Amino acid sequence: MLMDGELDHQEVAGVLEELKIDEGLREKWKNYHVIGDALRQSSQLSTSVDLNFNKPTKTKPLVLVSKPKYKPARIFAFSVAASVIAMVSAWALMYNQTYHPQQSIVAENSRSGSQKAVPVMGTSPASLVNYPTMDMNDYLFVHREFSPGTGMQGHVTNVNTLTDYDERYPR
Amino acid sequence: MINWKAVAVFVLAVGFQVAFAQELPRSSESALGWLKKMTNAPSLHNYAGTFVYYADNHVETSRITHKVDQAGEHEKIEVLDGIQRIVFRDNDEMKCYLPESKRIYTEKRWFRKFFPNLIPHSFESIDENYYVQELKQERVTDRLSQVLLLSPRDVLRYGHQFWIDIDTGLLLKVAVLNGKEIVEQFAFVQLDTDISIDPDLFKPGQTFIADDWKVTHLVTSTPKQGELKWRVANLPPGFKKITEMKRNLAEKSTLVDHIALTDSLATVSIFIEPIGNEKPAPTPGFFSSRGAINIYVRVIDGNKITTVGEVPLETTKLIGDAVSKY
Repeated sequence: MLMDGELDHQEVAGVLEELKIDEGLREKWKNYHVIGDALRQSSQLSTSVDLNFNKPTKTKPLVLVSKPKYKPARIFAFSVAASVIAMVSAWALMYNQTYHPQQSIVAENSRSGSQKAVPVMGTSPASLVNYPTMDMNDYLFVHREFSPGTGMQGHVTNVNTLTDYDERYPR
Repeated sequence: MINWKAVAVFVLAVGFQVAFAQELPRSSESALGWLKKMTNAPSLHNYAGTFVYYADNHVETSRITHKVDQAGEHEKIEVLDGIQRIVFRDNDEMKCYLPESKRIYTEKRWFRKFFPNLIPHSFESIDENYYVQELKQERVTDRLSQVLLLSPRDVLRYGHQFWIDIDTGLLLKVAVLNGKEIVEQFAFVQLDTDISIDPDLFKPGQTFIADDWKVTHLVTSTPKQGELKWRVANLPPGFKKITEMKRNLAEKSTLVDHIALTDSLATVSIFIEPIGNEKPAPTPGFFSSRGAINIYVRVIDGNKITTVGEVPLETTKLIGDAVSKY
């Protein structure tokens, strides 16, 4: 259920905690992913869950961390911080509940093909879910004038709250 | 409480950037001439080809057919990956067909967002914000191109690199740059120019005009002087208001205020709408979309101010914070 994204975020947190401490459970997780990859004929099989699991930033995105004390000098770190935000946004996209991975079609003639995007995990911490993605897509749709590159659904990610920003870049 | 030390540091930092910006020379007439040629090319040439959009490890392929005649420009763009989308453009009138949801959206073109037609006709002030430089000649999609680099004169905008077809002036490839990092790219992978194009290609097929399709006209109206209750004061350097309007959005019945800005290359939209009781109040903050797009949300007196643009995150904040009530 965790792999299918069917658990809510509280249950996910519990399961992830168990995964942290139970090596057998981690092994099972890995096996299920390898099986899934084989069924999907993926060219790259899943690697150890440890790689994805033991990094604190993977489970605690920037938007959720407790408020650090910032010094005024941090203002010079803006561009560096922006890069970090960009990196975190990619991670946050995976975990954002409002993001619903689409079954992608690779060019026109692949409708009958076998390449399909399969969501692995689709749950998120609750505090990321405070803004409907559809609202943003309305804006993007209009702003980009239907231009290619902006799909109709699900490419918006909350990367930072205003409080975080003000603390990072105090005025 | 205002942290005056931090303010001083901020002012110094901005001052440093301004000083740095002044070190870039003026763009040469020759380089600006390439931009002019590129801007005029879509109104002079027929073309048909396939291009890709690439950002954040995501690739999207589209097919474009473009015809010029006495009535102006006609274009058909089909997005070939993901959700099917077909856009017909007749000069500034656009229709977007979404076959899977059987929806049609109509809209007027305010910016110029369709590759390869990306530069506004009025780009005289582009040199104020970007240093345009001829780099070299390169082969792209089997054509010789002139490479132009547009370096931003400050940190408020992204850089751009253009590959311009030497023969026709068409834009063959564009990369949006954040420093040396490529944020997003459009590039032709196949292109035929100056070919004969059947005008029937620009008429939607019978399947698109069935009765069960839902048509949404994204209507805009230009408010009279003083009708819009919002103003944008103290904009970041180089940004100017193109227009302001009241408009409907795809999934909303109520009108929102839309203010459009540009620095001659990058575009920014400000959307202002009252926060209804039916939804939870939005949390102010920053959002990121694919590629160069950044989004900043704030709330003023029960209104949500959403700033969207292909500009750095800090620029969306400066522009969003410049919005105030009359």
